Amino acid sequence: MEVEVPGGSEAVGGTDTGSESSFKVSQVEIEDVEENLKNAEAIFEHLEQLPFQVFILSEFGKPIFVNNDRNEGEVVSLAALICAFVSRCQSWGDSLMTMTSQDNHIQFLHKSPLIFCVVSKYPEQLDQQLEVLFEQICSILSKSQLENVYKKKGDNYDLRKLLRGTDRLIDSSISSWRASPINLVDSSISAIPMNPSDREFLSTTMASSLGAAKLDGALFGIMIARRQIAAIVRFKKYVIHPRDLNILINLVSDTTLQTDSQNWVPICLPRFNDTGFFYAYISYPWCKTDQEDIPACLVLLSVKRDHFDGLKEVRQQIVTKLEGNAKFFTNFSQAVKTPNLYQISQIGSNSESLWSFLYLNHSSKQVCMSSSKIPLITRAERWIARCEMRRSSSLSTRHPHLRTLFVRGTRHCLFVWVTDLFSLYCIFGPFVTATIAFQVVEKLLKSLKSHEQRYFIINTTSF
Amino acid sequence: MESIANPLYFFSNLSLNPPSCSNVVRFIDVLEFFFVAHPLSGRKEGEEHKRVMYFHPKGEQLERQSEITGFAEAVVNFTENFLSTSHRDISEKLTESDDGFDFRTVTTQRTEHVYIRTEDDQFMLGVSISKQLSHVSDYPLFQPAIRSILSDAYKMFRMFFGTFSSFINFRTVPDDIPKFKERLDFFFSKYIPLLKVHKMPLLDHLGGVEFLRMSGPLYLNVVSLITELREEFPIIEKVMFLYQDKLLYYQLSKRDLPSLFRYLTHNLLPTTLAPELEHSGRNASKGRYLRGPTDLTTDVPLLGDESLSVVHLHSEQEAEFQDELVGYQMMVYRCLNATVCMFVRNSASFTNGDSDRRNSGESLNVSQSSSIRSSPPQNGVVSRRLLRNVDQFLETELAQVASKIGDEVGDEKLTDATDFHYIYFNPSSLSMTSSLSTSPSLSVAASGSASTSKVPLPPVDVNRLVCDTMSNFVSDTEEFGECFVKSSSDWWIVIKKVNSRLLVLILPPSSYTSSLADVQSKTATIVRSHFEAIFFS
Repeated sequence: MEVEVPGGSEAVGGTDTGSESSFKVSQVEIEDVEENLKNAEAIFEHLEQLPFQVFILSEFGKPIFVNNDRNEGEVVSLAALICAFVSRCQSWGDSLMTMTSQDNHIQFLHKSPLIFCVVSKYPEQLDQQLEVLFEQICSILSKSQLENVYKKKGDNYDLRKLLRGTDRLIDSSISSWRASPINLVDSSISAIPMNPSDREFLSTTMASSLGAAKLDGALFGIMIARRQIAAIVRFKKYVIHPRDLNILINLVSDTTLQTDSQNWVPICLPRFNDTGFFYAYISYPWCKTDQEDIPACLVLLSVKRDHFDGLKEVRQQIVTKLEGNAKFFTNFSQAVKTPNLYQISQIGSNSESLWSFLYLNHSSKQVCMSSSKIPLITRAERWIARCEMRRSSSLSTRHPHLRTLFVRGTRHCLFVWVTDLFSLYCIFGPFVTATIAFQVVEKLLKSLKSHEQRYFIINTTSF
Repeated sequence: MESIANPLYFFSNLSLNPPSCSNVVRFIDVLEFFFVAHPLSGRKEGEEHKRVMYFHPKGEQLERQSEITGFAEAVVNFTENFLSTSHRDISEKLTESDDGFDFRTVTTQRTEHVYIRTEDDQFMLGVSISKQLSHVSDYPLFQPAIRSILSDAYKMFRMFFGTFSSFINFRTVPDDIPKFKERLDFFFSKYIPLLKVHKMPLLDHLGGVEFLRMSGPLYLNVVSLITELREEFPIIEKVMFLYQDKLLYYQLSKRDLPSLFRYLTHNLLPTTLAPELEHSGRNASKGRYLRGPTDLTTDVPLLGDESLSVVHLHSEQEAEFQDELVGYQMMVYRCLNATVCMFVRNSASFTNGDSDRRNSGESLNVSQSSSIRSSPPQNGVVSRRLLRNVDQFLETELAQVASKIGDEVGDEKLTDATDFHYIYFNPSSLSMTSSLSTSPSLSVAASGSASTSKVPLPPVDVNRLVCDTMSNFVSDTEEFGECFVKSSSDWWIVIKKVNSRLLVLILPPSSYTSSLADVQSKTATIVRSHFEAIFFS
C-alpha cells in the first residue's frame, strides 16, 4: 500500500535535524501526586523500583559513576564483580552482554577503558542506552583522551577527577530514558511545533547571520526549546547525527548553565568526530529577562577555540532580528512556552478510539508524539503506554522484517505499522477492530502529512 | 550389557539416525556445554572442581569445568544483589510450586547460557548454546525454551533416579558422591546426545502432550476399560493410555505427565516398532508387555534383567504441590497400537529420601558388583502372577478398544490437510497439538499422524518472531489476548488466547491474506473448521 509519508519523505542524508522530545514537559501537565515516602522501608522499596541502576567503572574495577544510594563498600565490591565477569568472558575469547534473573535485566558494555553496566526491570534497548552513556562520557573527554588517560596515568587512576561536576549530565541522560521510548528518542529528535512561516523566518535569520559573519569553522546553529528543536542551520553539507544532537540537548537542559546568559563549552560530538572538540556558544537569550521568560536556547557550534567573540556577535544579531519581527516573536514565544502538540482530535471523526501514537520518520529521524488525552493522563498511565511502544519498537528492531502488529489486550490495543519509510506505534481503546484501527491510522497519516511543516523540520537551511 | 530393567536400555541407538524431518535439531549440534554442579562440594579453596558433578563435553579440562561452574555460581550471587523484596517472595513461591525453577541467563557475543537451581538451591544445572551453531542449524534461540529443555532434563533424571539430594546426604553416607556422578554420567551421556529440540522453540517451551482426538462414545470405552482395570487390580495406582504416539487418558500427576509421555513416545515405543512390523502377519492382536519378563508361565521371582523398572512420580494427584516422590514399578502393555502404562507403588522404596537411606548400603554393593543399574534392585510388588492376570484381563478388552480406535483414526486421516501451521495448547490439560511438532519415527512409520500440512515450513525468522511476540505481548497472567503480526515476507502470525487456551496460527504468504481484516476473517474460518470443539473465538 502506498502511503504519503509525513515528515519529509524526500529527505536524503541532509535532513538530519530536529530535537528530542521530552514527553514529560510536552504533555498536558497534570500534577502527579508523588507518593509520600514516609519511612525508611518505603524509601528502600522505592530505590528498588528505580527503573535503571547504572554502574560505570574502569576496566580495572574502579567505580566511576553510580546512580544509586548503595554504600561505598557495596559499590566497590559490585564493581569488582562486574569487572571480573567481563574479564572472565574476555579470557574465553568472548564478550559479556546480558544477564537476567526472574525479571531483572542486566546489560554490560565494555568499551575499553570503561565498563558500563545497567540493571533494569525492562529488557528493551539497554544496549543502546549504555552506548548513549558511553557517548555522553566521550562528549566530555573525547574518545582519544579517554583512551590515553589510563596509559598516561596508570591503571589505578581515578577518572572521577577528570569528570568532576559532570555527574549530573550523566544523571540527566539516564533520567531522560525514563521519559521516552528510548530507542526512538536517542537516535531521533522531535521538532517543536511551529507555524511553517515562523520556522522559516527563524532558520533564515540564523543562517544569514552565521553566513554573514564568515567565521571559518562555525558549522551549526541550533535553537532548542523544551528538549526539542525549533530550528537548525548548517554550514554547507555538514550533518549532525541525532545522537549528537541529543547530547547537546542534554547539555543545554542542565539548569546550572541556564543561570548565565552565555557559555563557552568545549564538547566532543562522537558521531561527528570522536577525537576532536567543538566549542559550543550556548546562550539563553530570553532567560529570566524582565518582561518574559522564554525557555529557548541558542547553540552555535564552531570547531575554533577563538570564535567566542565572533559567535557572541552573531548571537546578538540573531536576537535583535528575531525580536525586531513582533509578529514572529509573539508566535515564537507562544510556541515555546506552551507547545501546541498534535491533538488526536485533529484527525477528525472516529478518532476517539485512538488514545496515543508515536510516529517516526526513518529518513529524517524525527518523531511526532500525540499530546496526552484521556485515558492516558497520569504518569502511571502514560508510562504504560510508553512501555508498550518501547516494547514494540524493540521487537521491530530485533525483527527488521516485522511489518504489522496488532495486539488486543484487555485494557488497550496496540497497533504497530512499520514500513521502510516510517514506524507508527498506536495505542487504541480495547474495543477497536482492526478495520477501524486501520482507517484511523490512514486518516492520521494524511493529517500529519498535511501539517508536516508544523510538526517536522522538512528542510535544513544551509549557509 | 545393560540390564533390561534399566529404563535407559531403551535410549538405544534406534533414534540416533539424523533427524528425518527438518522440524527438529539435534540438541548436541547446538550445544556448547552442559553441567550439573553442587556448589557446596566445592567450597574449599583449591577444591573448586569438586562442585562439578557432571560435565559435557566429557573431555573438557578440569580447570575450565570449574571456571564455568564457578562463573555460573557467581552470576547467581551477583544477580541476587538486585532482587527486590517483592521478587524474593515470588521466587520462593516459584520454588514451592516446583515447576518454575529459579533461573539465570547469560548472553555473550557467542553463547547463550541458562542456569537453573533445584532442590532448595543446592544444585545447579547449566547449559550453553552456541549462537553460531544454532544459526547454522536454523535453530532460533529462545531463552524460555532452553530453560524448559534444561528443567525437562532434570525432571527426566529425577523420574528415573529420584532427587539429586537423595544421593548427597552428608550426615549418613558421605561416599554417595561417586555413585551420584556415576548415575548422572550414565543418564546424561545418553540423554543429551539423543535429545532433539524443535525449530519452533515454543513447542519445547510449552511442553504439552499430544492427545488423540476421538468421539465421545469411544472415549467412554477407554474410560470404562481403565475403570474396570483399576477395580480389578486396585494395586495399580496410576494409569496412562496411549494410542500410537498420542495420549488418550491419564490418571497421574500433571507434573509427571510430560516427562513420562516424552519417554514413552520418544524412547520406549519407537523401540517396539521393529518387532511389531516383523510379526505383523501373525498374532497381530495379541497384546504383550514391553518391559519385564518374557516368560509369564512360571512363578520365579522377578530379578535382574527381568525386573521392572521403577520411576519416581509425585504421589498424590490432589496435592499438586507436594514435593514427595514415590517409586512406582512401571508395567507397559501394548496391543494393536494401543499402550497401557500401569504404575504400582514400589514397596521397597518409601518416599524418595527414606528409600535411599535405607537402601544405600545395599545398592552401593550392587552398583559395585554389577557395574551400573538404574534403580535399586528389589523384590517389587509386581510378580509374574500379577502380570499374568493383567495380561489376561487386557488381552481381549484392550484389543477390542484398540481396534475401534484404529477404525476411527483411519477414517479421519484424510480430512486433516491444512494450508497453515498451528500450535494449540491448553495449559489445564497440557494438551498440545501442532503441525510443527514431530514425534519421531513412530508417527512417520505409522503414517496415520504424520504431519499433514502441505505448506512450507516457516522460515527461521518467522519462528523467532513467533517466540518473541509471544513473550512480549501475550501475558502469562491474562487469560485473554489476541495478536496479529505480519512479516515483510508476508507470513502472518496470529496468536489467540481464550480462557488461557492458546492458539498460534502461522499463515504462509497468500493473496487471501493481504490485510489485517482478511487475516482476522481467515482466522475465524480456521477456528471454526479446525478447532471448533476445543477453542472458542
